[in-house]
Amino acid sequence: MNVTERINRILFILSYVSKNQGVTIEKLAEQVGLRPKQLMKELDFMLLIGKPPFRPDDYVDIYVEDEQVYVEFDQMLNRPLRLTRPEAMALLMSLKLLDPEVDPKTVRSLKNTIEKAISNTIDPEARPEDRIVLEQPSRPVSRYFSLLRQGIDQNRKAEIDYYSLTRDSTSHRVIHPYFLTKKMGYWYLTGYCELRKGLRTFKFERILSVELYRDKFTPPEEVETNKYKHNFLKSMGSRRIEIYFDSKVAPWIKERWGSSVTKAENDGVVLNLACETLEYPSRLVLSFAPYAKPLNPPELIEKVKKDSQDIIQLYKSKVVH
Amino acid sequence: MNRTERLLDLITYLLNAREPVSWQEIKNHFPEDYARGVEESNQRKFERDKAELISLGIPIDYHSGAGVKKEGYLIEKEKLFLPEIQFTPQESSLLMLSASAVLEQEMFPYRDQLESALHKIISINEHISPPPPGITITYSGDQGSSKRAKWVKAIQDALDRRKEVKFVYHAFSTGETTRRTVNPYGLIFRRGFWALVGWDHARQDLRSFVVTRIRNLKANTRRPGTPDYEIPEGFSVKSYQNQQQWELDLHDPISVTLQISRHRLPELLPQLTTAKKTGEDTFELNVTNRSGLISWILSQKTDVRILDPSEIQNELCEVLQKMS
Repeated sequence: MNVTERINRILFILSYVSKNQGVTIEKLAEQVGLRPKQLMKELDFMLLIGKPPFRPDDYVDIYVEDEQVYVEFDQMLNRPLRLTRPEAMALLMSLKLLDPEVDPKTVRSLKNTIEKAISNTIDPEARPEDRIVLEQPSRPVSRYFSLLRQGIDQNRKAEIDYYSLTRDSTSHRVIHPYFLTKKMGYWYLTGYCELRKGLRTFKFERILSVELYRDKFTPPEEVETNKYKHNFLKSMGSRRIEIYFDSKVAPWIKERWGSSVTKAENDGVVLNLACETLEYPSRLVLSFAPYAKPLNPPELIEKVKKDSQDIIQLYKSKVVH
Repeated sequence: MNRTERLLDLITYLLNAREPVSWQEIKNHFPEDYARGVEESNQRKFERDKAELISLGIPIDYHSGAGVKKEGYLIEKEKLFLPEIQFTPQESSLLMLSASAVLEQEMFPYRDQLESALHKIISINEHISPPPPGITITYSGDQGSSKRAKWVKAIQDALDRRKEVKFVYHAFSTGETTRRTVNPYGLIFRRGFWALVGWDHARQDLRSFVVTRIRNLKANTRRPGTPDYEIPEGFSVKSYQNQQQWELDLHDPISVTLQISRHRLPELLPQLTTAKKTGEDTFELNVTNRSGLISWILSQKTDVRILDPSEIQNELCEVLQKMS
């Protein structure tokens, strides 16, 4: 731990105990992230802090009685320091994860409060949100967000039109919306699907319309949804897929799939995937054409052939041979 | 006296002083630290301590002695401490939702800073609400490794202090591995990977670098307290966030017109922010990487169709014919 982190920690302890006189050693240790023994050592060290001329009451007095911590003299060190630029930037950056779908008004007021709490000693002109970015621009589907949140909060059924990429078709479904998840920058809705009679997850960008019913559904058992949350997007299906990529594109495949890749002839690689349908693997092969080759199952080889013929068909009358 | 103790004593001293404190007074009260040996080295030691305090966000003002105030150093309480901020339950709940997504990820830059910011906020807020139950956010992917986490943090640190970085880069598009010297301007999280955007010294231009393709990164260690460069005014890393495959600068621009199936528009529109909309479902793109464009079109199968020019149509068909 460096000097800066330790000073911040000590000021945290002083301000926390000033606000919560008599907090137990255990609770304080947990808040600070120390073991109780280490905390006691830090409290001893804090008794050395003081101001000139260093008379007895010029020192910090923090003490433990019956396993509880009290501050007698805090020497005005009873509040945390203002947020440093990097700290404020970290907060503002994390808030970007909510933009623009989740409650823009509340997020805006949070941002204003944080901006006011920044210390101006460093880099007063810097605009933190211009430096590190982790969000996608706003999407047209964002408008369904608050509607679906309402459905979740009030246990109301929703009717959606959904384009499924894995089936390459659009369908009309009645959903019991359970929860919303953001993963790798994309929002998903999970709920019970009356059409498929089971829990399903829907990518926001593929939801084509949403209508909320007055009809209510019985909310699910928490255990059930937690189990699903845990495995969210992990199991892709049971169909085993093998695709060969030649040396020209192998670095990309290794970077993205790492552990599912094995070395193959001529510095190429073979990617092993498990999928529910052949739609995704076929699109993957096409996007790396002509450097990718489906190996297994035979149906995938057929599908890639058919998909590429369909594409060529679009241009057939115009292609010059 | 050890450094932590000395710095905390200095804060306590300057904070409790009724009037500015002169250098002579500081020396008198800290004789072991600032009044031994050569005056010049004592002054330098004090300057280093002051810089450390400033980096903590502690404003040490120097009053020149003009007007009513005496000459010397002072810390103003209002500038030092976090103002009284009380969040509404709704606000703290959303803050916890977004913060917990970041804290879960070891690799995230500013993770440590986020933790200390939350510490400060929690210590003065009576009640912090848990995240709303109907929403979860996760950033975990399987691309994380502790080595890369280290590099993202090192780049973030260099970016904060404006220090030049040197590294070995494996460019996938050319297959070449070269040594680069870069002034970091920004970091972006794009399609599951972190990328550094900065000024490439050899290329004399802005470039972006995927962090997983970086090896042996070292930040300039000379003069750690002095920035090596300034980020030009008007630069924003945002424009790189949504950069598409066909926008990589690999050849002279060509204009390509595409038609997109209606049911795919909600999903594909955000990728076309720089394209010109020429009709209900037609878009004109400025393409500087045609193979990137073809790869993207093929992954959309028949949902994206090239209307113009025919040379790109032919190229796409040739790619498919080569495969079979």
